[in-house]
Amino acid sequence: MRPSTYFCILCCFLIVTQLIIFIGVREKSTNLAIETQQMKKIVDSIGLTDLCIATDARYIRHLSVSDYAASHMDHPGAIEYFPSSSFRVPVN
Amino acid sequence: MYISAFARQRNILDYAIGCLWRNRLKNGGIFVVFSLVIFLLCSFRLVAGGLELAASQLLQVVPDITVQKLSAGRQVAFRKDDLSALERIYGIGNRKNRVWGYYFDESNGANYTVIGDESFDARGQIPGLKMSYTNPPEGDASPAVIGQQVKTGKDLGSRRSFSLFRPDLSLKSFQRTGTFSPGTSLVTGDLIVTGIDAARDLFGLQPDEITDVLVSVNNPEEIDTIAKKISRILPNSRVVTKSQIQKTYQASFGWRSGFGLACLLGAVAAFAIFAWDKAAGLTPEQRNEVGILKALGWQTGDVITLRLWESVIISALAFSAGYLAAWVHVLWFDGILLRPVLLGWSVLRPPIDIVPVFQTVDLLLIFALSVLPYLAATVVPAWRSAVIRPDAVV
Repeated sequence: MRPSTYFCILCCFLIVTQLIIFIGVREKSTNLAIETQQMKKIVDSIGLTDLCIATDARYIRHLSVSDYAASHMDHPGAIEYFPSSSFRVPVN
Repeated sequence: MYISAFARQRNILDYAIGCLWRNRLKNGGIFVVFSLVIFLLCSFRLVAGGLELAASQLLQVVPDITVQKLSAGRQVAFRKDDLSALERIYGIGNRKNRVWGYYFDESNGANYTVIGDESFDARGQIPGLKMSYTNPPEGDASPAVIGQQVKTGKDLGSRRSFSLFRPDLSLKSFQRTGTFSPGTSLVTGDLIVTGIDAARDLFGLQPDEITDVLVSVNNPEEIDTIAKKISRILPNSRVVTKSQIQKTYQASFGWRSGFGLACLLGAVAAFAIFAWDKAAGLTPEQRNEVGILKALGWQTGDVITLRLWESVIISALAFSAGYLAAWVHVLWFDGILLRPVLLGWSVLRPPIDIVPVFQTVDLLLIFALSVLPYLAATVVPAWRSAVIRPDAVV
């Protein structure tokens, strides 16, 4: 078999694997749908405003109802020191 | 004509694959490094995209308006009388007072979010929420429903009773009447929900103090109007609407977010320099090879095509492999390599069970930021190798 044929087979394998992964994503979405509904009921009943992802600081835990411009709120020159804020921008 | 052009390209592709295989160690190294860079970039975006999706789904039902009091830029408690002015506003459907705050547990260094809900009943149940509750508490203990991470953090096991310290270091007893299920940890992981009076007692607040008010509005179109009225009527208040909460999370996990992503883009730049460095140096064997090809009738354009095919093969395969690995990492391993960054210094570690989201814009951006610089880094070295004269090297 020619090398280009192997290359095409490899590309097809990668595409098929990606499609299988997308099917896995749909299954996971379906499985998580029940938990998502439960979480929505909890958010509605208690009046929650934020996701519980990281709890290392109040302005990381509660992004939307915490104090303003959190990363510099304690000291004007304070640099970012929480690893969990690597995923977030400070929002006003 | 098209068949011969296709056959020509296929022949060059065959030869390019042969060249890559002859230097498989060097090319394998480039492939591995390139795949890792793509893997990290894609994993980062998939986790952020999944969190954005979870936030957009779950935060559809947040309170219409949340009203807090600010003093010197920090949140302070309202007195109930401060809020009598809200009764004058037409269009407010329901108001719910709340006491909430953070409790630092010195025994394990964890921060809990304690919510005192005025509708939390004496049996220790949250109205409107069906879950498995135990018997009402006995004695002076206050009922509480806690999250899974609180239960494991305090090592409760099957025990129902636990105590927290008041500001004066006296102990306040609680009895667990329910535990949120592990599948809801994304919103309940660190929660302790109890009655509003129990929360005031725990935080040492006055009987008429509340930390915020949740306002529901009869007509969703009037949320912004009523929010403006509330901020005019209540000086020093911060009024957060539902749409502002949703936009906070959209902005927070957007493409430009994060120190981490800036560092990863630096890795892409470093890789482009590495690729240039690898492609720029021509070994004597490569010079001989090009000389022989030219002597056999290959044109300069054919040699450039050959080198470009080599770059395309490596970059396309590395991109595909890195992208695939990122999906597997996030879908089946819950982004385990990024969890330490995502959770930071948190002691409580809720499981981040999210669904990664495929977004064409992410795919195209990462492709443009990784594959195109790599191809660009190999174009000039490809041209330099293609203009070698056969009589100079053979």
